[in-house]
Amino acid sequence: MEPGMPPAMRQEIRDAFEQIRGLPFPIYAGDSAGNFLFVNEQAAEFFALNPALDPSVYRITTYYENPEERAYVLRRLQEVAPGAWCRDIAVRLKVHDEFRKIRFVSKPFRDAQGNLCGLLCIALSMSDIEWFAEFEEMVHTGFFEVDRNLVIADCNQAFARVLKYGSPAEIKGQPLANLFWEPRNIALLADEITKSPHIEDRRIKLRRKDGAMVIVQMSCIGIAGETEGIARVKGTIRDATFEIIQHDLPVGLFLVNTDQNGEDIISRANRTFAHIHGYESSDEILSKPIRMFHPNAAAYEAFKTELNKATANGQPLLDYYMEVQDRLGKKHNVVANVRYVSDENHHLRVGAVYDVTDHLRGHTRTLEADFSSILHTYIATINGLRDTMTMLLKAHGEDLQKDETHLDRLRAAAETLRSKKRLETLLAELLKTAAERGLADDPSLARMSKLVQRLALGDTSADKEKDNAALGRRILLEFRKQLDVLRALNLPREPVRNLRAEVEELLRLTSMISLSISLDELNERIPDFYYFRDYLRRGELVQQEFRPNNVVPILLDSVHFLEEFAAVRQVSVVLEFNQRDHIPVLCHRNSLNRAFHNLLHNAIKYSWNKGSERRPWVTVRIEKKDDTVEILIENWGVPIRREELESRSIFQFGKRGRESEDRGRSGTGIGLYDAHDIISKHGGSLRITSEPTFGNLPDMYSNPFITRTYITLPVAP
Amino acid sequence: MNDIIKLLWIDDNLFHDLTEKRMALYMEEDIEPHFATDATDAFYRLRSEPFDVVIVDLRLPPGPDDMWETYRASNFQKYGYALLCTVLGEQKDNFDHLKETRFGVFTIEAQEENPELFEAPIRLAEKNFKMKTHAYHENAFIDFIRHVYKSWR
Repeated sequence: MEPGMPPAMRQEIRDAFEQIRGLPFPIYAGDSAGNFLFVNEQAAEFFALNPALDPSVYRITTYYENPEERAYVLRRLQEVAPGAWCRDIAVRLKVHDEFRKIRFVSKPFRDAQGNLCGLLCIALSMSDIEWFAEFEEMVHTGFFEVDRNLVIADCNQAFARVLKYGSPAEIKGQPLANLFWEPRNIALLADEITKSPHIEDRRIKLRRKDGAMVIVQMSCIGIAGETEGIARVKGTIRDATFEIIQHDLPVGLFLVNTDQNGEDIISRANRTFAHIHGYESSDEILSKPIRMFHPNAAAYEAFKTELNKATANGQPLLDYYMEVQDRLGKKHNVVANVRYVSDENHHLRVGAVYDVTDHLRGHTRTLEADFSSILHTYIATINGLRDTMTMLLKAHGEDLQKDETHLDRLRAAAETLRSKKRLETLLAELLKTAAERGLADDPSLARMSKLVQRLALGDTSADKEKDNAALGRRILLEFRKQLDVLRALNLPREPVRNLRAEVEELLRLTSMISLSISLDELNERIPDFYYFRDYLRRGELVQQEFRPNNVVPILLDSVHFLEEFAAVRQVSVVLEFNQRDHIPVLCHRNSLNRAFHNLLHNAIKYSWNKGSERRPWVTVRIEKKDDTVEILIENWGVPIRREELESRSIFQFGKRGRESEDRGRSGTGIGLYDAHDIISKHGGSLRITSEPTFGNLPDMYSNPFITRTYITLPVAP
Repeated sequence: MNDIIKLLWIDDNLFHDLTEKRMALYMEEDIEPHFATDATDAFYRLRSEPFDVVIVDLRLPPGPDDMWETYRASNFQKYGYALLCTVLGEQKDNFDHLKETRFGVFTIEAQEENPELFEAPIRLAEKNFKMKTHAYHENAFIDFIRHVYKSWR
């Protein structure tokens, strides 16, 4: 107790205390130092004071959460007029580790000099609502009260704001029927409240002052009157319209934030966004890095680049099509509309994502079906054309054939050279005769001389074979025209006839060469057509439909199918396995065949000649290892770049390796993606390596590399 | 005697599907044909010597040079367009010797798909654009070359 308190003052405080101690609140009196002087029972209980002890052994200051706060309280009390009560001091006290929000109603006592020497306090517990009451105007929850006549008796500013009224006064006195979008529901609601007075989180449609509808989330309590069932209803409303849009809109909505490590994190998302990415609820996807849903780092960077580009132009990124993968790796085709939130320095972005996978799949399927049937007809036509070309070769070039379907081109070239020589000789003889007959200056003969000279100039190297045949034929056709002109001249018929016969022979030879080359080109392209048709016709791979099949004959099917292609490419396919082996795998035979076809086709297509002593070759091995089988396809030739292997971009749909266009090699960029997909769906793996040889540097891609494709599949039990 | 048209034809299919058209050029006395099959090859040919007429396919492979890196990143395919932009735009100072050269585009694509060809820096004359499907007969192609030769950029 403060030593200096005069006894009269103490008595005055005591009297005041005694007058109110019976009120049902904790009441105490204390001196200016904070010592308790008198406490009623509720105060002793509230502050957990030992009733056996004099209350003056306790100090109110020890109960303050922040002891310095008492100085503030005393300053406030200093300002209170003598004899008046101060009613608005709210403090947080700590009683036995429990925080309590308290409003003090206090009366200060002063000495003759006006110094505060004691006070009488009523400690009123406060609810959270009371505690935060000063923020009421900032709270977006609307409070309302409806009387027994279903008229708005009271409401707060937020209630008026939700319904677009200017102030609570404007809305008070309005019948509820004016505010309900569907007034017939009022009776139903009233009936429900009568039966069960507590309603929580009910969605209700209300009519705003401007006539628009607003959907609110309402909770209310029906309060019983003395005579009737429910006299009034008090409740809260919250505008839930955008919440509903966010929740029910079949579009993924998201907010992405950049964290302190520079990682773009999903900070908010709706349910649809979560579903697109393989999660049940939006909570599950929060805090996940957004990049994990992009197929690779390059794809994510491409998206960011486009977003930044659009932002630099003051635009949002609109209708950006991309592929994303859900948490299980399943691909989705989405269209995104995204923009950075202003003033956030690109650290916060919002967007909407549409999943167009099914839509796209439907369109793609139709296109694929249509295109595969066109391709099928096209292949049939090409096959017919190939047969006809083969027959023409047989009919007009039988003497030059190497076997049933191929021309001996070396022999054809030698024959052509001999024929050219004969043509030169025959023409020389004719020119001599023409000179004897005074026709040396005839323009047709001069033209023929020039044409024969050009014919002789042709480059005879093998890679000019096609050009030589094509150009030679054009020269010979021109030559033949000139021969027709000679008919009008006085020249012997026999040499002219011999010349014409030689021209026809040369035309036959060059045509056979061109036909043979074209047939090779056609044979080179046909596997592409077949593969592409089969790819377009593929169905979904359903594991239940997989059957045990020996993998060896499936692989051999592909080898045999590509024999002609390998022959044209002059690549040998070396099989280093026992063709009678039986290694069962659970598979979809056609799909696995397509994958093998693809990988082997690539190995042949991208092979280089290893030197003059031996033509290029592709090695195929099969090795059974416990419960798996490993198939190795190895070739030597066009490299695959290290970064393409590391990023696995070669397995992306439509992506071709940077070196793959080497020497005009065509391709679609689908093969490896498809093969990888098929093998993965068979529970296997596809691994590719590409390494330099002969000590060449790893980044020197102008040199040939050894490329190895490892296919691992589980062996069927 | 007619002028000799020194021609550079840039197309990756020159030695495949276009062999007959290419050989037809050798039969024309007023055309001296030269060929390039990718953007890199064409770039260096153009930098080293002048041509009267340059005919470009739009869907060209880039070839080995790193100068096309910025295009590669976005799965770009029209390196014929990139080549024209480089030669007539960003690096035009290195191609002063092509001031009199007339450029033409011979492609599988439609004119409407490539509006940028007719804007700066290429500013191709509409008549110097020809679709391959509109020149099935080789005479139509040869006439196109002569037309480009007579045109002015």
